[in-house]
Amino acid sequence: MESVKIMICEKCQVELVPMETTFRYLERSFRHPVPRCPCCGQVYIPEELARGQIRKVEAALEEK
Amino acid sequence: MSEFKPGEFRITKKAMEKWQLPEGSKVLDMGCGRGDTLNHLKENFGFIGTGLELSLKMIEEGKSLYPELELKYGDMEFLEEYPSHTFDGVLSECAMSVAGIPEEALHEAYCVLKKGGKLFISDLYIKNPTVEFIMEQAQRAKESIDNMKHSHDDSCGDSCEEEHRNRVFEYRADGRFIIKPLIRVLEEIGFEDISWEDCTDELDRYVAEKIMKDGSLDGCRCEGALNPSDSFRTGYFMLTATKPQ
Repeated sequence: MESVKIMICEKCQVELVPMETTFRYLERSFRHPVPRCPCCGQVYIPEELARGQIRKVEAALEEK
Repeated sequence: MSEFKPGEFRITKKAMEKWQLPEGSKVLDMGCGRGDTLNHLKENFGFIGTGLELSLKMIEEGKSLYPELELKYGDMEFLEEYPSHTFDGVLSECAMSVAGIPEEALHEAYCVLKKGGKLFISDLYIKNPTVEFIMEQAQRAKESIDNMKHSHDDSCGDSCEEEHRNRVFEYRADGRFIIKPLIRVLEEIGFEDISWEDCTDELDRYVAEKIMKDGSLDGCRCEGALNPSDSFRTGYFMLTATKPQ
């Protein structure tokens, strides 16, 4: 049986769901869906996202 | 994001606010892709759209998505099918930079526009080019046409996009426009009320969202322009103009 990872907000005890989220860096903003608590809005950034795409975006925006 | 279009419809909306055309106006989209913009203009402004596109694949997708739109295979440099004074508005978003000879397309746009008709272009451009660069570009432009390996004809399609994008013109280099010479060309053709503004924040947003979604810019038309052979930064602009009454 395949295991499914469910993320729960520690404060609200509800499941995180993918929601469009605004990121800001060096006075630019962009949007991307990430897991968020539908109650308090807490965002979860997976480590692979932070070390992967987000790092690449930072580099691209810094070059400009 | 199915095609290269920084700003999604935010820049388009700004241009339409400048155009101030009434519902029922006829517009031509040169390099329309699947027809997403034409559909947006139909839904939000009530315009009657015609789209020209050189990618048969895009047209096929568009006809499937928007069967009511008029999407045709065609080159923006050859608009003989349309009599003079046909359209109230002509637009080209992220397509002029890969046109074979942009001034031909702009001249055709002028011809098919009604008196008082509106033009809207958005595309990549070189931010802050030096005077020396502009002068060298003008010189290179004189030599580049004769050196073209590919002779432009009606069979142009996706496979020759790279070659056209890298062709040297006074107002375009490495797939990016140079604003001042471009405005001169528009004035020479006869356009007036030429107004442009920088929209680079939308390009930055597009780049960031593409990397977040796909992991890289691979396959994106802007990839080369964002890593040009010169040292100038790449930006994104929008421009509107009017055909005199």
